[in-house]
Amino acid sequence: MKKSVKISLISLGSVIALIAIVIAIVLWIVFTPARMTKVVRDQLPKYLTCQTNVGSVELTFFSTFPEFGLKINRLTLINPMAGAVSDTLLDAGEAVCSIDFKAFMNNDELIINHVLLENVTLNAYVNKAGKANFDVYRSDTTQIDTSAFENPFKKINMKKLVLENAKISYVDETMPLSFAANRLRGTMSLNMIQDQLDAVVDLGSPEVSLRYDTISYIEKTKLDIHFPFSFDVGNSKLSMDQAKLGLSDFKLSASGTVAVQKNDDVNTDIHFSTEKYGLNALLALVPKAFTSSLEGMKMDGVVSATGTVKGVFNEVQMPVIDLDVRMDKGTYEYTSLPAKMFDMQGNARVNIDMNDSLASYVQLYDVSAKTGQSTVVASGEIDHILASDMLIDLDLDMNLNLPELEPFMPEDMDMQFTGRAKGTGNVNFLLSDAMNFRLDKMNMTGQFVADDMSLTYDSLYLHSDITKLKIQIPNTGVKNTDFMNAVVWCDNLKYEYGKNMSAIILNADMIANTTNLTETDKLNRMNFDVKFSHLNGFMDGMQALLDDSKARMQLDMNFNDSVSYPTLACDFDVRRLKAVVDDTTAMITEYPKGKFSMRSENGEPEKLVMDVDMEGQQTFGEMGAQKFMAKDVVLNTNIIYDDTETNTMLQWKPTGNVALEDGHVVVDGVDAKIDIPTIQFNFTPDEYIINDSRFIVDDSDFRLKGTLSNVGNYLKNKGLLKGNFDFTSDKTDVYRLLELTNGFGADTTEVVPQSSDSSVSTGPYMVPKGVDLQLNINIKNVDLGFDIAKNVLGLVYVRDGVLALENLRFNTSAAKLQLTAMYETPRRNHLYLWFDYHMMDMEIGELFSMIPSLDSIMPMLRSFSGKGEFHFAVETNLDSMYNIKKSTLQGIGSVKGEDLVLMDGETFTEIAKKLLFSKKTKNKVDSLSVEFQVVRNNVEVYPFLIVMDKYKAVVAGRHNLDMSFNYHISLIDSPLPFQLGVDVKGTMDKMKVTHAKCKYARMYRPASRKEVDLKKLEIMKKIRETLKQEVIE
Amino acid sequence: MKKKLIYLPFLALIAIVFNACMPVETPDEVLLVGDWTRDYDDDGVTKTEFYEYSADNTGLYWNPSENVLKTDSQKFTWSLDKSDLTRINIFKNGTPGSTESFTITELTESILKYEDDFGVKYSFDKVE
Repeated sequence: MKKSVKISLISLGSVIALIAIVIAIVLWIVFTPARMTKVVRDQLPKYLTCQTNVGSVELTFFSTFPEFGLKINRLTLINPMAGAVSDTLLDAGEAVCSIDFKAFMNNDELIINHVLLENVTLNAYVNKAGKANFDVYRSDTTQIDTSAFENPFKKINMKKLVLENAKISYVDETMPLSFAANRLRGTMSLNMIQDQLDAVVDLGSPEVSLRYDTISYIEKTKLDIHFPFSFDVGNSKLSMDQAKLGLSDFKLSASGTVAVQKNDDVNTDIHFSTEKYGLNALLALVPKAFTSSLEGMKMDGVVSATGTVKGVFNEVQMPVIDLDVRMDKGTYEYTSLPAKMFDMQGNARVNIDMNDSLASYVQLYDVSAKTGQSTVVASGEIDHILASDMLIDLDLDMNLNLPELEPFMPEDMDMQFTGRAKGTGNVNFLLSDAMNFRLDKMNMTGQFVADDMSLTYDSLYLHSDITKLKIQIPNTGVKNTDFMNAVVWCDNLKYEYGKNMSAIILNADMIANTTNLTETDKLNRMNFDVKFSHLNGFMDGMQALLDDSKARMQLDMNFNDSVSYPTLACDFDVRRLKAVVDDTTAMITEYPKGKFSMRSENGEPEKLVMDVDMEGQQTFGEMGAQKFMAKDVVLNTNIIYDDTETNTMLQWKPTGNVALEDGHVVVDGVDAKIDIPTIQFNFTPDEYIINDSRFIVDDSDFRLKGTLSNVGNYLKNKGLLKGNFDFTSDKTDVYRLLELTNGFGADTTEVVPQSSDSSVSTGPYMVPKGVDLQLNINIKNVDLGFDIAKNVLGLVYVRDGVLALENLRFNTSAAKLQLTAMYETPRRNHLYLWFDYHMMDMEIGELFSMIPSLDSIMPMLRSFSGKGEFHFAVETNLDSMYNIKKSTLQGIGSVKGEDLVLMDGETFTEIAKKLLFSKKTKNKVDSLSVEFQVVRNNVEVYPFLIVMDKYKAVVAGRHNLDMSFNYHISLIDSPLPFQLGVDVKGTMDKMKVTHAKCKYARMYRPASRKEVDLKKLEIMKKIRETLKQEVIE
Repeated sequence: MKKKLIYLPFLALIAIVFNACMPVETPDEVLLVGDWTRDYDDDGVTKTEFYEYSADNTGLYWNPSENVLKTDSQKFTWSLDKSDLTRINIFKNGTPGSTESFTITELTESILKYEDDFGVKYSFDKVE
């Protein structure tokens, strides 16, 4: 160091030391504390109205170097007021103030170099009347100072004000408001030149409390304030730059201006920002009164915000607060929300305009949240946040783990999900509508793609590998179903309901338009357009298979209406339909399409009404070995389902018509080819009207027209199934048809004899029971086996086990015939047969081929040749092998003929020999008229006249079914001069022809001779009359 | 006279021997009413048949041997003119069918015998 400098410093130090000594002497000798204290104590009452206590006042120099200062130890102001926290208004432990007196005196400048306030206690109080305990300044109340503030100094400068360990309490009961700060410390520097004030205020307290009205806003919270500002007094404008507020851990930085206008409006223009802070910590600062709505919620995260406060503040206006908020690592829990959200992050703009309740909003920018393995990203706007109802408009991007939806389902719905769904959506709704589930007031759109999605609910199980869903609420522009539009596509939908119902649907595509389904008490409408490539469904043993199907359905239903059936209208178009029930299969292979509708009956909601209009190009049905196939099936039906009916069959009451072409039927156990080239019939629950039909059964080809009626009573077991049909045929194989209808409706409990040869019929033809059918027969050709019956006309009845032929007329190669017959099958081993058989222009020899049993009854007819008339009415019971029960056989008959030929033979030769016939006698029979009757074993031939050449003979006798006979022949007219008679007895093998006395007199005529047994004549007459009654001309 | 008395035993014998073949002059219709049965031979098989004669001149015929029960029985009407019994069998449809004529040769409370025009004899026992 240079020597000169050293000398200078030593000199300066000596001067300073000298000055200090002088000042010390002055302070301790001239301005003693006692003198200073007395002065202050004397002056204070002149300015203050309250009691004052001053400990001591002293002048300082060294502690306020380089200025002189005034130090007051223990200044106490006491102003008791009821309600105040304390009688002590102010208690300052130590106050030091140094002022630049030179500037004050010479330049009108107030320069306070240093102010120190230590251990200050302030208890300010304003009672309800507005009287303050700190209003202790003694002033001139006779004049009101209305002049504007005018700074008396050119400059006011407070270089430093230090507050240490202050305790401040302010209570204003007019508001009411209370503020308290303990251990408050702070500094302030201030510089005011004319109207411009610049200041920096720093305050800090570990315990600050603020209570307004009944709400505690701050409760013993750490507060730090750094408040650099300038204030333009003339313009009442406060400007601040980087002002900082620290409340607990919440730190805010603000810059801007606040200006008071002449009209007392306050213009604000403040920009502020916060540091990142914990949301949970911030919420802890929010008064509980304002967090009651958050009860049950737990939320946290790192939040930061920047924003502005701009606008006018006055009695009617508030500035607008505009915030940009950033959240990271957010979490959210709510007791009513079954999922915890985490990793919440995103930006939001919050605009709060308290001047207009509808102007405030929150704008979300890609706000994302996770819950479990699901993520939701939301962007959009929430409007009206200060209004009673918020308007929410959000775009959502969702990646959902579907099992996490389970907790959101109603508690009473035990639903399980699997799979993931990704999608986007938009929601636009009022919060009140969402809270009240008024979906019809909300706007929602969304589209999702779900992988491996499944839903299990109770007995319901749904699964799809890939599911696409598009939903839109409302369904704008669609009348009647303007609530929702949903489009669903599933690649492979599996459906199960319990153990008895399941379905697999491939490429299912459905469009649904609905009314508001949440209005369950109203009639809802749902329109569906459904398409799928394949459906395979099972239900209670039934299977349904549909290919390339599409349907359009309209469903109207009231979900609360448990009585009425939904109203459904459906158009369907299917490429292939197959239904299988046990061993029954119904299949329409060629584009079945049509309409189906269902509804409740008018006035009877418990009754279901269905309409089915359907057509299929190729139909196939199968039940075990029974099969049915047809082309061009057309079905139009109306069906009423009445579940009050106990009979299952009668619960369904169909009305309508069916038509089909080219039908083929295979019936189990019936080895017959059955074709139905065409059929068209109408039907009601009780009646089937066949308008046209054609059947080909093996070699039979016939048409049926007519009515099947009394179906209802038949199904109720209250009556017979009645039918009246016109049976028209070119060719009919009667035996085949009888074989096919054998035993229909028979008592299945009756033991049926078993045959070891399955190809052989095991019993007789059993006439169908339970039916009353009438066939008006018109058949051109009937194959009788031994002949062809032509032009068969008449009636055939089948009446509950009885088969009857009424006046059946037909021609064969041998005769014209008329047949009335009855065949009854009460028991398999007890059959009944009655017939009245009338043949005209009959070749007698053909009789035996037509009626083989006639060989036993009238063997003598074998002896005749030529044409005649045969009439036979007979009844008998038969056993199961059609053997006659001889004890029941009885009948009457007649044979008439002319120009017959008596066949040559040993019998004739022997009889002719006994009767002395000329060898030239021709065996030609001019006329023959025989009446006979059958009674059990016996055939009694009543006397008849036979004329041969010049011989006339009367023949009578008895023929037994054991082929024995006993005849008598009386020659009543001959060239012989005497009468001759012979008895013919025995059997054909042992026949005895013996002469006998003539039983019939000469020229006897069986029908007219008086001498004949009258009784026999009566019988013969009765036979003729009885038989004649049956003849139709 | 004594010589004529010698013929009395012969007359009595003739009366006894030919009594069975002689028609009962006026059989009592009341005795006929009731059920009658007989066994008969049908191609070596013994069968049993029943007739029931009712007081209203109707009757039933059945033959259990051929599984024709009484419920299946054949109806007839009958008339008795002195010893001539006539049965008219009725078809099931109600029209008259065959007619049978017999001459009653014996009718008691337990026995009914008749024969037809061809001399075939029938004997019945009353069904108690």
